Amino acid sequence: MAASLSSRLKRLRETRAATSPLPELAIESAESDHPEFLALWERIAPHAYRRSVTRALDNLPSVLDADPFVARLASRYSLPAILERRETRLPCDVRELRFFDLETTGLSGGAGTIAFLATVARPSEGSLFLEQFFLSDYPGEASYLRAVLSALGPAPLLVTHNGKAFDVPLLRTRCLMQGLRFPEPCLHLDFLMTARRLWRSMLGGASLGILERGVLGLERSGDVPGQDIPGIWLASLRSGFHPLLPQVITHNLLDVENLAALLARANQVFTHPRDFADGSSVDRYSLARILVATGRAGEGETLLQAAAAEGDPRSALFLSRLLRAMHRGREARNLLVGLEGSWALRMESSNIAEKEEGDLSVALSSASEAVALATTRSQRESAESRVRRLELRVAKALSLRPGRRRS
Amino acid sequence: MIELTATTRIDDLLDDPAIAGSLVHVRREAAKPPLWADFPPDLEPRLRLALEKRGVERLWSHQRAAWDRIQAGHNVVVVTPTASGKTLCYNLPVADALLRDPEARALYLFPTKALSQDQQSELNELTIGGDLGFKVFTYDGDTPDSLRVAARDTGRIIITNPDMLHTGVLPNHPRWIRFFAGLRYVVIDELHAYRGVFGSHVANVIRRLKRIAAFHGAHPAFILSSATIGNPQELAESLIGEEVEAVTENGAPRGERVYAFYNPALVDPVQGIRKSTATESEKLALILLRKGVKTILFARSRMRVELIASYINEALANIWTDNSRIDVRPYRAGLLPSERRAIEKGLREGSIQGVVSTNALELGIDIGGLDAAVVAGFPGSFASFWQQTGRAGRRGDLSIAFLVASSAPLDQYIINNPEYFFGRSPESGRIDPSNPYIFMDHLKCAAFELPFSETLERLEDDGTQGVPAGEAVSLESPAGEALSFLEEDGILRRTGGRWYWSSQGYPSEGVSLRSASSDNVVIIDRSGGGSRVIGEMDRPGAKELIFDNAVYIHLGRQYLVEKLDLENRSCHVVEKSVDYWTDSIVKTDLSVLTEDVTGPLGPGSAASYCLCDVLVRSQAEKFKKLRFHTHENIGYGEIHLPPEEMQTRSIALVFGEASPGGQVLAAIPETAKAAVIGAAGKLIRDIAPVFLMCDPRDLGLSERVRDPHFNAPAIFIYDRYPGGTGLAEGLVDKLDVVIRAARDRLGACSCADGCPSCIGVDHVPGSGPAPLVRGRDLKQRIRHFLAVLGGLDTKEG
Repeated sequence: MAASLSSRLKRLRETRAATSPLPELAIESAESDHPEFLALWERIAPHAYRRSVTRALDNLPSVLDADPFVARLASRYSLPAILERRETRLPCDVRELRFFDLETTGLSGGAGTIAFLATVARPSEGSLFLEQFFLSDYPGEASYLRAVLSALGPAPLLVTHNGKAFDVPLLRTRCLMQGLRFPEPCLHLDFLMTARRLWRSMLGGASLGILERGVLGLERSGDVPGQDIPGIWLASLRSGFHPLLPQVITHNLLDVENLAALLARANQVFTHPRDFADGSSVDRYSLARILVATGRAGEGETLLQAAAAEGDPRSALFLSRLLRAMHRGREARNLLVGLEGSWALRMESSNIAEKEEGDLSVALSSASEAVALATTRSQRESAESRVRRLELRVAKALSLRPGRRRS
Repeated sequence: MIELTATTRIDDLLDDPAIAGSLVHVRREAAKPPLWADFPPDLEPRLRLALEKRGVERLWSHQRAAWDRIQAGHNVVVVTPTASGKTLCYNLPVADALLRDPEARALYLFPTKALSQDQQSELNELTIGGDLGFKVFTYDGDTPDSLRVAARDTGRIIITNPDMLHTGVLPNHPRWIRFFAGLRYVVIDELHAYRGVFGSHVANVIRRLKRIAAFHGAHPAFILSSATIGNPQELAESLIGEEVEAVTENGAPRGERVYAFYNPALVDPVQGIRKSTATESEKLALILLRKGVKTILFARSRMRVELIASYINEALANIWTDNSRIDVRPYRAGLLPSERRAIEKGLREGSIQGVVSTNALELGIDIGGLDAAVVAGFPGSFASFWQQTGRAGRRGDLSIAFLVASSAPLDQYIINNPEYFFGRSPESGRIDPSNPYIFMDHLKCAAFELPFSETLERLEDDGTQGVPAGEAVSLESPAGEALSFLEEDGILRRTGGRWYWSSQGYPSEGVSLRSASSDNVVIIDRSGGGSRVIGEMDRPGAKELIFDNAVYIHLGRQYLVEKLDLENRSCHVVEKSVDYWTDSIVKTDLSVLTEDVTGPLGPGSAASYCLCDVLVRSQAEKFKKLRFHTHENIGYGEIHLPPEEMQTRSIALVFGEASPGGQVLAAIPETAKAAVIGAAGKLIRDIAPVFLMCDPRDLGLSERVRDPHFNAPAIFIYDRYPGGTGLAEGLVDKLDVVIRAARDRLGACSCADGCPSCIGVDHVPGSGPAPLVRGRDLKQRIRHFLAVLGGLDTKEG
């Protein structure tokens, strides 16, 4: 059977070779374990390289000062939650702050996907210190990973972009495969979550590329599209140096550098929210909600007022509820006037009319409009039950029984 | 309900004039008392207590036998008919191990999702009911993300199916580190389902599983269970690639059972036309149901199931007696899971009295006990037949099973040879883990999961039977060679003594365990300018069924194919009502690539056989338009598609000039030669599945008056799955019996000129023009030819 299988395999292959184009010719590159583009890198083990870059930090001072925002990083995983709990005591050392990003051989993960490039950055004496680790071939993976782990430190305060879903599980898998212990982060801030709230609605997305252009005003030149990166490294394994490989390395470096800049910008936004009240650069509504949730209702209100005045229905509605919660319901009265009708707005109007002004007929007519505007069954049902309740109140007020059935 | 407890009642039933005339054989099997065994003395006390709470105070002998062998460190396969307590055979050792070691884990594999769910409820009863307190999770495509993490981290028993293991679990094994590190037992239920293509795939998945478990430091024992098949031990061993001990003696009690063979009356004896199997089965089911007998009817297609169920319900509703309260449901694949669960529950609880099912209910889904089974047409394999009839009489009471024959040669052979039917051992399940296509696919998946390392040593288990189960592979082995091929293709990279996965993809996504190729054509409904996906079809099938201008029928609706775009794997159709269907005429060409084994055919060496690799080229060139109902040919059309090529395994029957078989053919006039070879080949091909445990559609046929390779007349019977799944090899061992059975069938057939039950009245639709010579002469010649091949007295024919 064995011999037969082997001849069948050969034949299978021959017919395939005849019908499909020949694969690229393999040029042996493994022997020259020192491609020229790595000349300036430090060879830490066979197939594993390291280099470091220091960047000036003129746009990052506050991050480095471990100001209240970074301090608050420590308490939870996403910004709103971080700010909710006004903890000042850090569960981990702010000096363990690490920005981190990987380039991999595939985007769908799994045990056969590896990370061949990693950048770890940390603040250092007024600048950003970036270390890059490059794996030039599989056998160097264990040494390469050890170097990455040592740069991350034993309990890092990690900042990534989409690292929760991708980079961190992947690195954990690689460590398991190589029998290394992955250091669980003291805290992991996935900036994607923050960026979505602050900018997605205005920029149409929250990918790093979009944020760089829309928030930092940066334009990369000669950048490699992310989906091409796995192929470039794999091709360089097969046929030696790939001319785009240096750009992949730069791409990864810029990702991390710009992530740090974006975090600094987010910090600025949270520290001085009123500076962003004109709504040209952040989603005021989302920012205001975060501020309110973290006990900074006054600042939140400023943003909401500005947005509501410009006719943003979400902000108007949220502000109206906020004011009522603060027993300033009368101020909410005119907020919703003139806004385009929606179920939520009409329900709120009805609430204001009933509870703040005691005007049952306006409350009832708003609720009836809400029934007509409902888009889901549960919306319609809650509007209808409101209508029934108000009718009952009106009837009571007129000292009339609504019917004999309820006797 | 009237209980079927008295033999006289069965006799009444069989004497019913509506039935008696068509009964060709009745067989009674006596009841069998249970064989008891005590609990093993070393059983974990909490487990013993939990069982006693459920009223289990001792075991059946086979349950104890399984326990003893497992405790002695063996892998075990338990062969059990339905309702013989097989689940306890594996739940007992597994629960015992989990209670003793908090790190121990077990994996349960079921061939389908529905079975997993059944199993989970049974396990939950045992675990919660007995406060055993270990977590059982079903992990399959329906498991919500929120539960998956908990399943991986805390599940002590994971219930899944091979497909999920293949695409979801193994490629992500680092997430399952705790589970794999503690893996003590792998339970594989319904072993008999793992045969052919599916089994060959799963055998490779199991090797990948063992490889990953070993990487995490675990070497699990395997417990398998199987319905009655001819080679449980052999199949289990080739599935898991290890030695397995078989427990075959069943200690469970069995009620008295009556088998009745029912051959629908001949309507036209000359043409061999019989009453319809479906109508006759429906009639039997109605008689049984009206007598208050809970009945299951098995039909072969989903469409038939729906039709028969609705006819039965109509017939019941038409009478004004209580019978209209009898509830009969159709059960088949394609129903919603909730609909299926409701029927299963109704059957268990007695609110549904009858069910018409496809083989979907053949597997171990719990539906409680029914009193009668009606099998409409031989289901293709003995194992299926026993599984289906085993659905009746699960409570140990008297039960009855009817086999209603169709006019197919297979059915007519069986129904006329009952002594053979009951006397023979069931057929064997076959797999070929070394099918080169399947093997290569799984080698890729395995390399993705963990790099292979090379060694110069010769290893025992190194890919001669599927993917190597260890990390190391010797260079000289087939696996080593195959890895080198993958390396040359740039899929793997060999460096530092290891082969690393070196591509972007996620290989298991492109490998389906259940179908021939994963490059399916998507069928898109473009009616009214829309774009809605309504189905999928494999590429070879698409070329023969959904070519341009073909009529495609889906859930009773008719569509006309606008454009089959093979390059983009799409087929655009529009809904259109027409009064015909289309049937392509496929021309098959076959050439021999290599000869592997040759030998004499039959005791008298009347011809020779050759096990070989062949290239099959099939091309649909034309199609017929056939009117609905009358099947009258109303026109032809051209098909312009490239031929489909496939390498596979075949057996060739070669009739050399000097051989007796060759001489018989030489004496036949040229004009009749093709017809004789063709019809003989068809009969052999039609009968063979019963000996091979495969579906008739798994075998292809090609016959040559003069084959250029052998330079002689030849009949090729080939495996229709690329690379072969062991069917051709299996046929080598069974050739003599198959040929004799084919001859017996022809000899026993009452028709005059050939009929659908023997050599056919025409070739199978689509296989070519009608033969030139037909009738009595042809039948005689084929009979003689087969008699010579079977080494029987040549004068007899």
